[in-house]
Amino acid sequence: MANATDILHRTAARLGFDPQELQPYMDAMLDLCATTLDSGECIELMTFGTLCPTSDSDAFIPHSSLFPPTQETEL
Amino acid sequence: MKREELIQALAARMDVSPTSAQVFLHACFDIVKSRLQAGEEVTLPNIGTWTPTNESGGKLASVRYAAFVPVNAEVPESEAFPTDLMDGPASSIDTRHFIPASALNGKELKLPAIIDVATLVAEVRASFAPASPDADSVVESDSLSDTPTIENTDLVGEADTIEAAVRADEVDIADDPEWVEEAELVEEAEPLADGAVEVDNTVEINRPEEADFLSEEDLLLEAEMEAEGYESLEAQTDQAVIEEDDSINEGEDSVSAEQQDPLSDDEVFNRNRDQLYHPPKEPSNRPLVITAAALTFCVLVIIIYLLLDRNEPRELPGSEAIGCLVVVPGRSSSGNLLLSPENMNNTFSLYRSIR
Repeated sequence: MANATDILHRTAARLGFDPQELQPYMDAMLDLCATTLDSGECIELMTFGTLCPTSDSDAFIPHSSLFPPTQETEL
Repeated sequence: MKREELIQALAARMDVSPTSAQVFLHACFDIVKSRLQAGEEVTLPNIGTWTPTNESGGKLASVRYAAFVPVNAEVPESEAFPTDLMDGPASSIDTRHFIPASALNGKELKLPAIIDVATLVAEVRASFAPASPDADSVVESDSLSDTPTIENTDLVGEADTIEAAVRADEVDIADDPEWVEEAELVEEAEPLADGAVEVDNTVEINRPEEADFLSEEDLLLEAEMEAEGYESLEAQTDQAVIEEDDSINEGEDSVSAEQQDPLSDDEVFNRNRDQLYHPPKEPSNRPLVITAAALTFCVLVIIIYLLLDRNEPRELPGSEAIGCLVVVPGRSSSGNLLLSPENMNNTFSLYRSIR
Protein backbone atom coordinates (compact mmCIF):
# COMPACT_ATOMS: atom_id res chain seq x y z
CA MET A 1 0.00 0.00 0.00
CA ALA A 2 1.39 3.40 -0.96
CA ASN A 3 0.94 6.21 1.50
CA ALA A 4 1.69 9.91 1.33
CA THR A 5 5.33 9.38 2.25
CA ASP A 6 5.87 6.93 -0.60
CA ILE A 7 4.18 9.29 -3.04
CA LEU A 8 6.35 12.15 -1.80
CA HIS A 9 9.59 10.21 -2.21
CA ARG A 10 8.68 9.08 -5.69
CA THR A 11 7.68 12.58 -6.69
CA ALA A 12 10.92 13.98 -5.34
CA ALA A 13 12.89 11.34 -7.23
CA ARG A 14 11.08 12.19 -10.45
CA LEU A 15 11.63 15.93 -10.08
CA GLY A 16 15.18 15.58 -8.80
CA PHE A 17 14.58 17.16 -5.41
CA ASP A 18 15.11 16.15 -1.82
CA PRO A 19 11.95 14.74 -0.21
CA GLN A 20 12.34 17.11 2.70
CA GLU A 21 12.21 20.06 0.30
CA LEU A 22 8.92 18.89 -1.17
CA GLN A 23 7.35 17.96 2.17
CA PRO A 24 5.77 21.43 2.62
CA TYR A 25 4.27 21.20 -0.85
CA MET A 26 2.70 17.85 -0.04
CA ASP A 27 1.36 19.07 3.27
CA ALA A 28 -0.14 22.17 1.66
CA MET A 29 -1.75 20.16 -1.13
CA LEU A 30 -3.29 17.67 1.31
CA ASP A 31 -4.54 20.49 3.49
CA LEU A 32 -6.14 22.25 0.53
CA CYS A 33 -7.84 19.05 -0.61
CA ALA A 34 -9.11 18.23 2.88
CA THR A 35 -10.42 21.75 3.41
CA THR A 36 -12.20 21.72 0.07
CA LEU A 37 -13.78 18.34 0.74
CA ASP A 38 -14.90 19.36 4.21
CA SER A 39 -16.66 22.34 2.74
CA GLY A 40 -18.60 20.00 0.46
CA GLU A 41 -17.02 21.29 -2.73
CA CYS A 42 -15.79 19.07 -5.55
CA ILE A 43 -12.10 19.21 -6.36
CA GLU A 44 -10.34 18.24 -9.57
CA LEU A 45 -7.11 16.39 -8.84
CA MET A 46 -5.28 17.36 -12.04
CA THR A 47 -5.35 14.40 -14.50
CA PHE A 48 -6.10 11.86 -11.80
CA GLY A 49 -9.80 12.39 -11.25
CA THR A 50 -12.44 14.47 -9.52
CA LEU A 51 -13.62 14.09 -5.96
CA CYS A 52 -17.22 14.95 -5.14
CA PRO A 53 -17.98 14.32 -1.50
CA THR A 54 -21.67 15.19 -1.77
CA SER A 55 -22.39 12.51 -4.33
CA ASP A 56 -22.61 9.03 -2.83
CA SER A 57 -22.58 7.07 -6.08
CA ASP A 58 -19.94 9.07 -7.90
CA ALA A 59 -17.71 10.14 -5.06
CA PHE A 60 -14.65 9.79 -7.29
CA ILE A 61 -14.74 10.29 -11.04
CA PRO A 62 -11.50 8.96 -12.56
CA HIS A 63 -9.85 10.68 -15.44
CA SER A 64 -9.86 8.92 -18.77
CA SER A 65 -6.07 8.69 -18.77
CA LEU A 66 -6.14 6.52 -15.66
CA PHE A 67 -7.33 3.44 -17.56
CA PRO A 68 -5.59 1.86 -20.55
CA PRO A 69 -7.10 2.67 -23.95
CA THR A 70 -9.52 0.12 -25.38
CA GLN A 71 -10.01 -0.88 -29.00
CA GLU A 72 -13.04 1.41 -29.27
CA THR A 73 -11.15 4.46 -28.06
CA GLU A 74 -8.21 3.70 -30.26
CA LEU A 75 -10.41 3.51 -33.30
CA MET B 1 -12.40 23.70 -7.36
CA LYS B 2 -10.88 23.31 -10.79
CA ARG B 3 -7.33 22.29 -11.40
CA GLU B 4 -6.34 25.88 -12.20
CA GLU B 5 -7.78 27.04 -8.92
CA LEU B 6 -5.93 24.28 -7.11
CA ILE B 7 -2.67 25.37 -8.76
CA GLN B 8 -3.23 29.02 -7.86
CA ALA B 9 -4.16 28.14 -4.29
CA LEU B 10 -1.04 26.00 -3.82
CA ALA B 11 1.20 28.66 -5.37
CA ALA B 12 -0.26 31.32 -3.10
CA ARG B 13 0.16 29.19 -0.01
CA MET B 14 3.76 28.20 -0.79
CA ASP B 15 4.62 31.65 -2.19
CA VAL B 16 5.95 30.21 -5.42
CA SER B 17 5.13 30.66 -9.07
CA PRO B 18 2.08 28.87 -10.49
CA THR B 19 4.39 26.97 -12.80
CA SER B 20 6.22 25.37 -9.89
CA ALA B 21 2.96 24.41 -8.23
CA GLN B 22 1.67 22.96 -11.50
CA VAL B 23 4.81 20.89 -11.98
CA PHE B 24 4.56 19.49 -8.48
CA LEU B 25 0.86 18.65 -8.73
CA HIS B 26 1.26 16.97 -12.11
CA ALA B 27 4.19 14.88 -10.88
CA CYS B 28 2.42 13.95 -7.65
CA PHE B 29 -0.79 12.73 -9.22
CA ASP B 30 1.08 11.00 -12.03
CA ILE B 31 2.82 8.97 -9.35
CA VAL B 32 -0.57 8.17 -7.79
CA LYS B 33 -1.89 7.00 -11.16
CA SER B 34 1.18 4.86 -11.80
CA ARG B 35 0.80 3.17 -8.40
CA LEU B 36 -2.82 2.38 -9.07
CA GLN B 37 -2.03 1.06 -12.53
CA ALA B 38 0.60 -1.15 -10.92
CA GLY B 39 -2.13 -2.63 -8.73
CA GLU B 40 -1.09 -0.89 -5.51
CA GLU B 41 -3.53 0.71 -3.11
CA VAL B 42 -3.01 4.42 -2.47
CA THR B 43 -3.96 6.26 0.71
CA LEU B 44 -3.79 10.02 1.19
CA PRO B 45 -4.43 11.37 4.70
CA ASN B 46 -7.59 13.40 5.20
CA ILE B 47 -8.66 12.55 1.65
CA GLY B 48 -9.26 8.82 1.30
CA THR B 49 -8.11 5.50 -0.10
CA TRP B 50 -8.13 4.28 -3.69
CA THR B 51 -8.19 0.54 -4.31
CA PRO B 52 -7.49 -0.70 -7.85
CA THR B 53 -9.13 -3.67 -9.52
CA ASN B 54 -7.09 -5.28 -12.25
CA GLU B 55 -8.24 -7.44 -15.13
CA SER B 56 -6.91 -10.88 -15.88
CA GLY B 57 -4.25 -9.36 -18.10
CA GLY B 58 -2.99 -7.15 -15.31
CA LYS B 59 -4.51 -3.96 -16.71
CA LEU B 60 -6.39 -1.57 -14.49
CA ALA B 61 -10.12 -2.21 -14.73
CA SER B 62 -11.64 0.03 -12.09
CA VAL B 63 -10.79 2.07 -9.02
CA ARG B 64 -12.76 2.01 -5.81
CA TYR B 65 -12.63 5.11 -3.62
CA ALA B 66 -13.20 5.11 0.13
CA ALA B 67 -13.55 8.49 1.74
CA PHE B 68 -11.55 9.36 4.85
CA VAL B 69 -13.48 9.01 8.13
CA PRO B 70 -12.39 11.37 10.95
CA VAL B 71 -11.65 9.93 14.41
CA ASN B 72 -14.34 11.89 16.21
CA ALA B 73 -17.04 10.83 13.84
CA GLU B 74 -19.90 8.77 15.18
CA VAL B 75 -19.28 5.13 14.56
CA PRO B 76 -22.29 3.21 13.27
CA GLU B 77 -23.77 0.80 15.73
CA SER B 78 -22.89 -2.15 13.56
CA GLU B 79 -19.23 -1.18 13.63
CA ALA B 80 -19.12 -0.12 17.27
CA PHE B 81 -16.97 -2.02 19.73
CA PRO B 82 -18.96 -4.83 21.31
CA THR B 83 -19.85 -3.74 24.82
CA ASP B 84 -20.59 -7.20 26.10
CA LEU B 85 -16.89 -7.95 26.20
CA MET B 86 -16.11 -5.17 28.66
CA ASP B 87 -17.32 -7.01 31.72
CA GLY B 88 -15.17 -10.04 31.18
CA PRO B 89 -11.48 -10.56 31.91
CA ALA B 90 -8.80 -9.24 29.60
CA SER B 91 -8.59 -12.49 27.70
CA SER B 92 -12.07 -12.03 26.33
CA ILE B 93 -11.24 -8.74 24.62
CA ASP B 94 -10.47 -8.94 20.93
CA THR B 95 -7.01 -8.85 19.55
CA ARG B 96 -7.05 -5.14 18.95
CA HIS B 97 -6.76 -4.54 22.70
CA PHE B 98 -8.28 -1.14 22.25
CA ILE B 99 -11.50 0.21 23.67
CA PRO B 100 -12.58 3.41 21.96
CA ALA B 101 -14.07 6.11 24.08
CA SER B 102 -17.36 5.86 22.22
CA ALA B 103 -17.68 2.24 23.28
CA LEU B 104 -17.61 3.08 26.97
CA ASN B 105 -20.82 5.11 26.72
CA GLY B 106 -20.59 6.26 30.26
CA LYS B 107 -20.14 2.79 31.72
CA GLU B 108 -18.29 2.65 34.99
CA LEU B 109 -15.47 0.18 35.02
CA LYS B 110 -15.25 -2.11 38.02
CA LEU B 111 -12.18 -1.05 39.94
CA PRO B 112 -10.72 -3.05 42.84
CA ALA B 113 -11.72 -1.84 46.30
CA ILE B 114 -9.24 0.31 48.18
CA ILE B 115 -7.33 -1.73 50.77
CA ASP B 116 -7.20 -0.35 54.30
CA VAL B 117 -3.52 -0.95 54.94
CA ALA B 118 -3.62 0.35 58.53
CA THR B 119 -6.20 -2.22 59.46
CA LEU B 120 -4.26 -4.92 57.71
CA VAL B 121 -1.06 -4.02 59.57
CA ALA B 122 -2.85 -4.08 62.92
CA GLU B 123 -4.26 -7.47 62.17
CA VAL B 124 -0.91 -8.89 61.16
CA ARG B 125 0.78 -7.57 64.28
CA ALA B 126 -1.97 -8.87 66.50
CA SER B 127 -1.76 -12.27 64.92
CA PHE B 128 2.00 -12.64 64.94
CA ALA B 129 2.92 -10.74 68.09
CA PRO B 130 6.29 -12.13 69.37
CA ALA B 131 5.91 -10.97 73.01
CA SER B 132 3.79 -13.84 74.34
CA PRO B 133 4.50 -15.52 77.73
CA ASP B 134 3.85 -19.01 76.39
CA ALA B 135 5.71 -19.57 73.15
CA ASP B 136 3.87 -22.79 72.40
CA SER B 137 0.46 -21.28 72.79
CA VAL B 138 -1.69 -20.98 69.74
CA VAL B 139 -2.53 -17.49 68.57
CA GLU B 140 -6.18 -16.75 69.04
CA SER B 141 -8.13 -15.49 66.12
CA ASP B 142 -10.69 -13.46 67.99
CA SER B 143 -8.75 -10.30 67.22
CA LEU B 144 -9.83 -10.46 63.62
CA SER B 145 -13.50 -10.44 64.46
CA ASP B 146 -13.18 -7.22 66.50
CA THR B 147 -11.35 -5.29 63.82
CA PRO B 148 -13.10 -3.67 60.82
CA THR B 149 -13.65 -5.93 57.88
CA ILE B 150 -11.34 -5.80 54.97
CA GLU B 151 -12.86 -4.94 51.66
CA ASN B 152 -10.54 -7.17 49.69
CA THR B 153 -11.83 -10.67 50.10
CA ASP B 154 -8.61 -12.26 48.96
CA LEU B 155 -6.69 -11.02 51.97
CA VAL B 156 -9.35 -12.29 54.34
CA GLY B 157 -9.06 -15.69 52.77
CA GLU B 158 -5.32 -15.65 53.28
CA ALA B 159 -5.67 -14.72 56.95
CA ASP B 160 -8.03 -17.57 57.53
CA THR B 161 -5.55 -19.95 56.02
CA ILE B 162 -2.78 -18.71 58.33
CA GLU B 163 -5.04 -19.00 61.34
CA ALA B 164 -5.91 -22.54 60.46
CA ALA B 165 -2.24 -23.39 60.19
CA VAL B 166 -1.56 -21.83 63.58
CA ARG B 167 -4.38 -23.69 65.19
CA ALA B 168 -3.06 -26.94 63.82
CA ASP B 169 0.32 -26.09 65.37
CA GLU B 170 1.99 -26.50 62.01
CA VAL B 171 3.77 -23.17 62.20
CA ASP B 172 5.25 -21.76 65.37
CA ILE B 173 5.00 -18.13 64.53
CA ALA B 174 6.33 -16.71 67.76
CA ASP B 175 9.74 -18.34 67.33
CA ASP B 176 9.98 -17.90 63.57
CA PRO B 177 12.08 -14.81 62.97
CA GLU B 178 10.78 -14.29 59.43
CA TRP B 179 7.26 -13.47 60.61
CA VAL B 180 8.57 -11.12 63.25
CA GLU B 181 10.76 -9.42 60.72
CA GLU B 182 7.96 -8.91 58.23
CA ALA B 183 5.65 -7.60 60.90
CA GLU B 184 8.21 -5.02 61.93
CA LEU B 185 8.76 -3.94 58.35
CA VAL B 186 5.30 -2.50 57.92
CA GLU B 187 4.96 0.72 59.81
CA GLU B 188 1.79 2.58 60.52
CA ALA B 189 1.45 5.87 58.69
CA GLU B 190 -0.92 8.78 58.82
CA PRO B 191 -4.09 7.82 57.00
CA LEU B 192 -4.79 9.80 53.88
CA ALA B 193 -8.15 10.76 52.45
CA ASP B 194 -10.70 8.03 51.83
CA GLY B 195 -8.85 5.57 53.98
CA ALA B 196 -5.92 5.19 51.59
CA VAL B 197 -2.68 4.73 53.49
CA GLU B 198 0.87 5.02 52.29
CA VAL B 199 3.32 2.53 53.78
CA ASP B 200 6.90 3.64 54.36
CA ASN B 201 9.27 0.75 53.78
CA THR B 202 12.42 2.48 55.06
CA VAL B 203 12.23 1.06 58.58
CA GLU B 204 15.44 -0.50 59.93
CA ILE B 205 15.25 -4.07 61.08
CA ASN B 206 16.39 -4.82 64.65
CA ARG B 207 17.87 -8.27 64.59
CA PRO B 208 17.01 -10.46 67.54
CA GLU B 209 19.47 -12.61 69.47
CA GLU B 210 21.96 -14.57 67.48
CA ALA B 211 20.89 -17.85 68.97
CA ASP B 212 17.52 -17.53 67.29
CA PHE B 213 19.15 -17.62 63.84
CA LEU B 214 21.33 -20.65 64.35
CA SER B 215 19.85 -23.58 62.54
CA GLU B 216 20.21 -27.15 63.56
CA GLU B 217 23.09 -27.60 61.16
CA ASP B 218 25.00 -24.73 62.71
CA LEU B 219 24.43 -26.13 66.17
CA LEU B 220 25.72 -29.54 65.10
CA LEU B 221 28.74 -27.96 63.46
CA GLU B 222 29.52 -26.02 66.62
CA ALA B 223 29.27 -29.15 68.69
CA GLU B 224 31.66 -30.98 66.42
CA MET B 225 34.15 -28.15 66.48
CA GLU B 226 34.09 -27.99 70.25
CA ALA B 227 34.61 -31.72 70.44
CA GLU B 228 37.64 -31.45 68.19
CA GLY B 229 39.08 -28.64 70.18
CA TYR B 230 38.40 -25.81 67.73
CA GLU B 231 36.91 -22.60 68.85
CA SER B 232 33.22 -22.25 68.23
CA LEU B 233 31.95 -20.10 65.46
CA GLU B 234 30.81 -17.55 67.95
CA ALA B 235 34.23 -17.33 69.56
CA GLN B 236 35.95 -16.99 66.20
CA THR B 237 33.70 -14.19 65.16
CA ASP B 238 34.14 -12.55 68.54
CA GLN B 239 37.91 -12.58 68.11
CA ALA B 240 37.65 -11.21 64.60
CA VAL B 241 35.36 -8.46 65.73
CA ILE B 242 37.69 -7.55 68.61
CA GLU B 243 40.61 -7.28 66.20
CA GLU B 244 38.61 -5.15 63.85
CA ASP B 245 37.47 -2.88 66.63
CA ASP B 246 41.09 -2.01 67.34
CA SER B 247 41.56 -0.78 63.80
CA ILE B 248 38.22 0.99 63.53
CA ASN B 249 37.75 4.53 64.88
CA GLU B 250 36.35 4.66 68.37
CA GLY B 251 33.73 7.22 67.43
CA GLU B 252 31.91 4.76 65.17
CA ASP B 253 28.97 2.80 66.48
CA SER B 254 29.77 -0.88 66.10
CA VAL B 255 27.95 -3.98 67.20
CA SER B 256 29.53 -5.75 70.18
CA ALA B 257 31.37 -8.99 69.67
CA GLU B 258 28.85 -10.97 71.65
CA GLN B 259 25.95 -9.87 69.52
CA GLN B 260 27.81 -10.07 66.18
CA ASP B 261 26.69 -12.71 63.83
CA PRO B 262 29.46 -14.37 61.76
CA LEU B 263 27.19 -14.22 58.77
CA SER B 264 25.87 -10.72 59.34
CA ASP B 265 26.40 -7.94 56.89
CA ASP B 266 28.46 -5.98 59.41
CA GLU B 267 30.91 -8.81 59.83
CA VAL B 268 31.34 -9.23 56.12
CA PHE B 269 31.73 -5.50 55.66
CA ASN B 270 34.34 -5.22 58.39
CA ARG B 271 36.26 -8.16 56.99
CA ASN B 272 36.27 -6.69 53.53
CA ARG B 273 37.30 -3.30 54.81
CA ASP B 274 40.16 -4.82 56.75
CA GLN B 275 41.39 -6.54 53.65
CA LEU B 276 41.11 -3.32 51.74
CA TYR B 277 43.28 -1.29 54.14
CA HIS B 278 45.60 -4.14 55.07
CA PRO B 279 45.88 -6.25 51.99
CA PRO B 280 47.86 -9.49 52.17
CA LYS B 281 51.41 -9.38 50.90
CA GLU B 282 51.75 -10.74 47.42
CA PRO B 283 54.83 -12.79 46.44
CA SER B 284 57.45 -10.61 44.73
CA ASN B 285 58.45 -11.13 41.16
CA ARG B 286 62.01 -9.89 41.56
CA PRO B 287 63.82 -13.18 40.70
CA LEU B 288 61.78 -13.54 37.54
CA VAL B 289 62.54 -9.97 36.50
CA ILE B 290 66.25 -10.41 37.06
CA THR B 291 66.34 -13.64 35.06
CA ALA B 292 64.45 -12.08 32.18
CA ALA B 293 66.78 -9.08 32.10
CA ALA B 294 69.86 -11.32 32.08
CA LEU B 295 68.54 -13.42 29.24
CA THR B 296 67.65 -10.33 27.26
CA PHE B 297 71.13 -8.93 27.81
CA CYS B 298 72.75 -12.15 26.59
CA VAL B 299 70.62 -12.21 23.48
CA LEU B 300 71.50 -8.60 22.72
CA VAL B 301 75.20 -9.34 23.13
CA ILE B 302 74.99 -12.23 20.73
CA ILE B 303 73.15 -10.15 18.17
CA ILE B 304 75.64 -7.29 18.41
CA TYR B 305 78.56 -9.71 18.11
CA LEU B 306 77.10 -11.23 15.00
CA LEU B 307 76.48 -7.86 13.43
CA LEU B 308 79.90 -6.38 14.14
CA ASP B 309 82.07 -9.41 13.40
CA ARG B 310 82.67 -9.18 9.62
CA ASN B 311 86.19 -10.65 9.46
CA GLU B 312 85.11 -14.18 8.88
CA PRO B 313 83.52 -14.76 5.57
CA ARG B 314 79.99 -15.93 5.58
CA GLU B 315 78.82 -18.98 3.78
CA LEU B 316 75.71 -17.57 2.14
CA PRO B 317 74.07 -19.01 -0.93
CA GLY B 318 75.43 -17.53 -4.07
CA SER B 319 78.77 -16.49 -2.59
CA GLU B 320 82.00 -18.24 -3.40
CA ALA B 321 82.87 -20.88 -0.93
CA ILE B 322 86.37 -21.42 0.29
CA GLY B 323 87.84 -24.82 -0.17
CA CYS B 324 85.47 -26.02 -2.82
CA LEU B 325 86.75 -28.41 -5.36
CA VAL B 326 87.86 -26.91 -8.64
CA VAL B 327 89.53 -28.36 -11.65
CA VAL B 328 93.22 -28.28 -11.04
CA PRO B 329 95.97 -29.82 -13.08
CA GLY B 330 96.82 -33.24 -12.06
CA ARG B 331 94.62 -36.19 -12.25
CA SER B 332 95.16 -39.68 -11.28
CA SER B 333 94.95 -42.55 -13.61
CA SER B 334 91.33 -43.08 -12.76
CA GLY B 335 90.52 -39.47 -13.49
CA ASN B 336 90.02 -38.47 -9.90
CA LEU B 337 91.21 -35.16 -8.73
CA LEU B 338 94.43 -35.03 -6.83
CA LEU B 339 94.11 -32.66 -3.92
CA SER B 340 97.65 -32.39 -2.88
CA PRO B 341 98.67 -29.71 -0.48
CA GLU B 342 100.35 -27.85 -3.32
CA ASN B 343 97.23 -27.94 -5.39
CA MET B 344 95.20 -26.79 -2.45
CA ASN B 345 97.47 -23.88 -1.88
CA ASN B 346 97.30 -22.97 -5.52
CA THR B 347 93.54 -23.14 -5.31
CA PHE B 348 93.35 -20.84 -2.37
CA SER B 349 95.73 -18.41 -3.96
CA LEU B 350 93.57 -18.46 -7.06
CA TYR B 351 90.50 -17.58 -5.02
CA ARG B 352 92.32 -14.77 -3.28
CA SER B 353 93.40 -13.30 -6.56
CA ILE B 354 89.83 -13.42 -7.88
CA ARG B 355 88.61 -11.58 -4.81
